[in-house]
Amino acid sequence: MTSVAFYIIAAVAVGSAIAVVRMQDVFRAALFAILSFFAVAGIYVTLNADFLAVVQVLVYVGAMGILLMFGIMLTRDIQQGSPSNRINAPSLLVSVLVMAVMITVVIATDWEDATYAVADLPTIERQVETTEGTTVTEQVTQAILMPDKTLVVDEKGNPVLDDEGEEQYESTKGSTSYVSDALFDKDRGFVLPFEVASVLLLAALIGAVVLVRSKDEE
Amino acid sequence: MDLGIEHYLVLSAILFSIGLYGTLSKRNAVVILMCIEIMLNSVNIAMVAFSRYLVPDVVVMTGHVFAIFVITVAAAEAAVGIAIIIAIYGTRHTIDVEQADLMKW
Repeated sequence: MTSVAFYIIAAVAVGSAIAVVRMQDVFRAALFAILSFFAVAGIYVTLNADFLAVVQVLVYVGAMGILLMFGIMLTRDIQQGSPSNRINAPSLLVSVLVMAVMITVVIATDWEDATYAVADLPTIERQVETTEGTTVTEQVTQAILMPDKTLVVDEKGNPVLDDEGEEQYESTKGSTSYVSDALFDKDRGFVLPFEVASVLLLAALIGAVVLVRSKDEE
Repeated sequence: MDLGIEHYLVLSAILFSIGLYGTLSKRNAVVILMCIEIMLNSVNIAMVAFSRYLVPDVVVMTGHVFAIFVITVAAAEAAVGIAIIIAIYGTRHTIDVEQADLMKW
């Protein structure tokens, strides 16, 4: 089921990306770029990354799409279309070569061999407060992990058994809480990069305003 | 047939090459910006695929965090890029990158 969805979404993503580079009308190229971003959101869904899919739709399909539209409308160079430059043939050759090399390497690599067991992942020690108020040191994996499947439990936390007495599993509902853990965890999170990213967004905002401000206002 | 990491990496490679071709061969600055975004998207697909498949039955969330940071930087880059394109259009009345050659030696 997932593989059928993957092939359809991948075909849409690749087809609309080709349309972006082939289309002579810049506005239609932008519409196809937005379709390609939307298809990538679908790819994220097939990878259990639902939070990223939502972010992709919000940031790329919403904000970036509007931004590209504004860029096209404010520059009014549409009548010139989207011509190729003099190195069209060499750049096509280079990109086909890059694609061939990457696909060859991906196919030739033995990915079964490259996977880790959870026990092989690097661990760190962290101080955890117990309910009695004492702190104990425990070993945890360095990265936050989201299980593919979780045990089905009833209200008391006991596992629900099916007719044959087997424990049941369901796919994990939503990656949002795991993403927030991975971003903001005290020992293993990315809090400083997160703050730096907000400073970067502020700088980009001010920079964009300064760049497009008309000169005669001064 | 079950999906493996190869499917996602091949898709990522194809999208990256399409974006690379557009970035190298187009003259319209807005189209070049779109192709750069397609390349960043393909890299994100590769990172999320690695976080999903490199440890069996578990998703390592670090790949998702990196993808979020890439999306943040891409948004900032697109905003500044469009602003630069509009500024160039304001002074030179074209967004053909071959004619924006004031700093060419």
